[in-house]
Amino acid sequence: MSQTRETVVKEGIDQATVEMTRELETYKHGFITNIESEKAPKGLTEDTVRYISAKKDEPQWMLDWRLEAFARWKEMDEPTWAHVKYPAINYQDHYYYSAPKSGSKYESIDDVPPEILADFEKLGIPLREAEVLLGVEGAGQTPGEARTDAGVGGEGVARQKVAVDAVFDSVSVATTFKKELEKAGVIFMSISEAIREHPELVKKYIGSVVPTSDNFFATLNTAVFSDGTFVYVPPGVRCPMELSTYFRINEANTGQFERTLIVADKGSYVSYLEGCTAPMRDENQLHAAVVELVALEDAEIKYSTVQNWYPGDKDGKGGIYNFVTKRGDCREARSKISWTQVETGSAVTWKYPSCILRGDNSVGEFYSIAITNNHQQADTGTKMIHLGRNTTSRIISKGIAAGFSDQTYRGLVSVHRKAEGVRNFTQCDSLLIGDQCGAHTVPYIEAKNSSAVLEHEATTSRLSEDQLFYCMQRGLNEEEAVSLLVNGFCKDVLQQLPMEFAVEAQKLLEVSLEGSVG
Amino acid sequence: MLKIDDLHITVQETEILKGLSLEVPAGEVHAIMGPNGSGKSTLSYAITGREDYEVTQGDITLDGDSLLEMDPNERAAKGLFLSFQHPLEIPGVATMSFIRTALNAQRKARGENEVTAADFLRAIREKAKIVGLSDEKLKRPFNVGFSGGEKKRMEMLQMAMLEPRFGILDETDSGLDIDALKMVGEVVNEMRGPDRGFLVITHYQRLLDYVKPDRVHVLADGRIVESGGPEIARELEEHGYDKYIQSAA
Amino acid sequence: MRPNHQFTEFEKALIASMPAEGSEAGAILSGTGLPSRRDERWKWTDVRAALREEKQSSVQSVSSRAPLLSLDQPIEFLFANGHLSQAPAGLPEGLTLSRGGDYPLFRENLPNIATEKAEATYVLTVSGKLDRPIHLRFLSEGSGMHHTSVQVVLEEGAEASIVESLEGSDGAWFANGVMRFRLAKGASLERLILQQAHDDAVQVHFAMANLAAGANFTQGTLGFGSKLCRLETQVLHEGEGARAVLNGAYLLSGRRHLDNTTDVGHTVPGCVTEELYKGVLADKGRGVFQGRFYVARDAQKTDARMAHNALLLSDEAEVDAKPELMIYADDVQCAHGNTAGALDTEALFYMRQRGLSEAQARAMLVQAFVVEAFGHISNEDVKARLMVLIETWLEAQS
Repeated sequence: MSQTRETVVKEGIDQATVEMTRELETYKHGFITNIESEKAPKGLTEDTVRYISAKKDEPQWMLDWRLEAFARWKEMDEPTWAHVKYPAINYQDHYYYSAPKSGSKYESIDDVPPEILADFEKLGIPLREAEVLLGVEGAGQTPGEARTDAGVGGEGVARQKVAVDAVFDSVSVATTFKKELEKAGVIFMSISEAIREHPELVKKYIGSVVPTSDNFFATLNTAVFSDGTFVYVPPGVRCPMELSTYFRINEANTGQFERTLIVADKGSYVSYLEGCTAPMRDENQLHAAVVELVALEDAEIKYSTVQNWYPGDKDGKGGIYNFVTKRGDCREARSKISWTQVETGSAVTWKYPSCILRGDNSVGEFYSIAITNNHQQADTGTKMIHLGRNTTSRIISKGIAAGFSDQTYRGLVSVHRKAEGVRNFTQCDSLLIGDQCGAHTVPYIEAKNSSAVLEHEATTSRLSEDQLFYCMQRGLNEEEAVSLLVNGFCKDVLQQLPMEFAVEAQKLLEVSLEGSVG
Repeated sequence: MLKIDDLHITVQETEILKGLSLEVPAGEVHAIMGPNGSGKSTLSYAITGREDYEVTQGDITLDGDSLLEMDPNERAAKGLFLSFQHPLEIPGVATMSFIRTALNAQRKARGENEVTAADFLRAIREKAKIVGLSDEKLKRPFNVGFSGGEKKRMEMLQMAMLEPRFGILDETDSGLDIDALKMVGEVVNEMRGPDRGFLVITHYQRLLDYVKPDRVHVLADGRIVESGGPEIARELEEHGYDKYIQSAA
Repeated sequence: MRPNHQFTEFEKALIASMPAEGSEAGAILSGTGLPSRRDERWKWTDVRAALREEKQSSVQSVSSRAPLLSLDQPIEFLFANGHLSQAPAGLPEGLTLSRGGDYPLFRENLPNIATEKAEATYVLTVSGKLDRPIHLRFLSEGSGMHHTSVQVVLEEGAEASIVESLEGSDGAWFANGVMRFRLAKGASLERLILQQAHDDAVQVHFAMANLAAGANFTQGTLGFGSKLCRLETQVLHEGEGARAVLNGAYLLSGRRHLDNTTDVGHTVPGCVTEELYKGVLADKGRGVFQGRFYVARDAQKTDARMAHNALLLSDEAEVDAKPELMIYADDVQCAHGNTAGALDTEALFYMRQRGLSEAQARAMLVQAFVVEAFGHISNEDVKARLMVLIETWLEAQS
């Protein structure tokens, strides 16, 4: 761990270099990959929207949709209600499209520029179709090493197939296991490809969960989204492997606006994982994604995120602005959508993965761990909108604030007039580490039906000194003790993650809390 | 007195009782024994009129009057008392005031005079002593913070106070020690008489050492599969329910 | 200023009635208008929408009526449509009445308007232990608007109890009141707010309490709502070891609306706040609960607990709740809980099996549910009278 290591300042190496090296060790995905890229002109105009659409070879309906969104976006104001502070964003000072110059999509994995392959390899993301673990925190390791490492905690799961869609800045560079998935009837490809290859499906579902002018950032995304993932699971199919997308922002001053659409048709099941990182840069970068999930009758979607965008340095310089709209629609009876998120990155997070429980007896779940350290700010939570009868939802949120960070859980549970027999249970626990951080809980509960049973509990506390002392008496150092206790605090949520992800998430918790004690 | 004729009960679209017939004449104590899941508690809720226990066929009568169209409180006023298997805690409701309100509501429904506060107090103190509940317990909110045994004592206290024509004891023995079992026996035996009947629902034979039944019925898979004298209970204690479970299946 | 803000006739008249020069409240009002659902803190209580038509100032008299709550030897002050029309001839020792008092500019503008528009800010100062309860009766009538402003100052170690009854007869009146409580070191105040008004009335009753070290502020509320009613209390713990209890119950029928909003700031170490609100909603009643605990960086060892439980008796009723924690100190115990649901059907069945009618069982359960919010009231007599008011409400429902 960086601060436990002695740093000898040699002659000729200035303090800044030492600091920088330290930072590099703290955020392990902060390297920049040198690759020539092709960008849209800086700034955002109607021409930018047309440029992106043209680059993607999009049909007219898609361009029209983008332009409509852009027109509406110009009339909208950036939301200010979240408990976060950041300097005004100059939307004209960003690039809205950046792609590796050598072409956006490659025929075979062998055509992917070696720099990008190496980049993803450094991140532990397997772009070659080997049976390996999805690693999120394996920088500096080869996938093989990551496997050995993770295998310690996750015996028996070490060899599992995970299909990956890798998004590098604005474009999807590789999608693995496509053929095998096709055999099962599962469509898994970049959204750009899907717009061309499955326009009828995309047209039917895109924008049906998050409408064009839903909110400022979602509308911006609709206008300028450049890539993302499309998944369609046909009726009755249980997706044979975990699907995942790995997002990477590399280029400077570049916003990433990805769009993900997952449709689980009647009686199907899919588990989807999402991971994200970005290089360390001094300036802030914008990430405004939209994720739409549609679950039809008896279908289930499990969506897990490990978000580890660059959080900025320890003084709060740089980092990603993560302004994301994620929403799932349990459109038909007995469908289920489950969100699990481990949020450790980003300078500012604004994110509320939500469920619209429209179908009778549908189920929505939200499991969240959010860790903020240094000067990070996070305003995150969920909305459970109960429209159908006998719909149930469950919210478990664990927030850990350390350093100078500020964290808010913001959630809505809403029961509509006709929704008989609704059940909700919400538990929000916050843990403060240190006395310079803040943890806030802002739940909204709206009940319009007397048969609803809604329970909400929230607590705020700090790590018990008794427990810390107990662990240390047994020989753990303070950081290990904190990490152990924090893991215990988060257990209910960690259990929800797919096994191979949970191991990585635990390690990530450790890294994120480095330097928070002592 | 209590007559159940070809009773079919459906709970949440599942049929639990599948044609149960039973007659308990006045003055008798009958026991119903059965394995877990045989429908014992369903029977007690069906007789007392709990919502969601849908009678799809058959009838239940007390003294010749059908109970099916009656509300739970009308059945109570007619003289039905259920000692719950899992008595509730009702925070904020004063115990004495609750029992007195119940007693007077029943008397009023039967066209009798209400009991005065003084008479009520005298009676409840006396009966509380018999069931073994202290004054302090009577002053608490209803059952709040009571142990399982104390809750059962509170059930017996209410039965003694409300003096029902017909009492149903739904697994009253579960979780009770010997002293408490004796107390239940005392209360029931004291109340036994030519005009009163009891139905004792239990999994084990041990309560029947204190409350001697006139007849014992075995309930399995929603029907009475055997009826006879107290010897059946002893036989069950020795050999278990296996043969009934198999014969029912 | 809000873009495209169209002022209502009511707002225009109110703005016109504010002094042209030097009115801070007027300046804010001309900029933002009245609070509406666009304002985060008023999203469920839209004052602007409830008050569209122009209103004149109320006449300064009302017909006399029996008090909503009769107290034992009260020191009674009667405000008739905002005008202090009756005060005791002689005040007991330890209590003085004066005019003046300073007010900060509140974050909410309605209390600012009340301060400026009230005929005076009356200041009640208590020293020592006051045995008799102070009773402020705010009577409203007619279809005009009126404002009141009262300040209660408790000197070091003083003890008092105060009842504010917001009573009203027929009419679409608008009453806007501000209270300020200042508790010096070790002072202790028991406050009770009782609200019952006509269906057409709009009421906003705002209070701010500043607590010095070791002060004890206990508040109970019983409200029955009106067309739109907001009872807001802000408490600021300014001295170590201060303690606040904020309890309340509301019972809403018809189309009545009641908003209980509380905001408690902990700025120094070692303060305690306990909060419990119980709501019962029948017919098309709409209950709003907003509770906020703010714990500043220095306020270590804060112990703050909040609970709100709502009981919905009808499918047309609505409850909206926002129990909020803003915590900046790590060594604290803070918790909140919120529940909403119907009466426990198991308990209902149990009670009916014992012979209670459905109405009886319901009434008993509702009463049991509500009574917890009055656990802190030391005066058994007052408690019993509140229960009578609740029983009367319950009887009207069945």
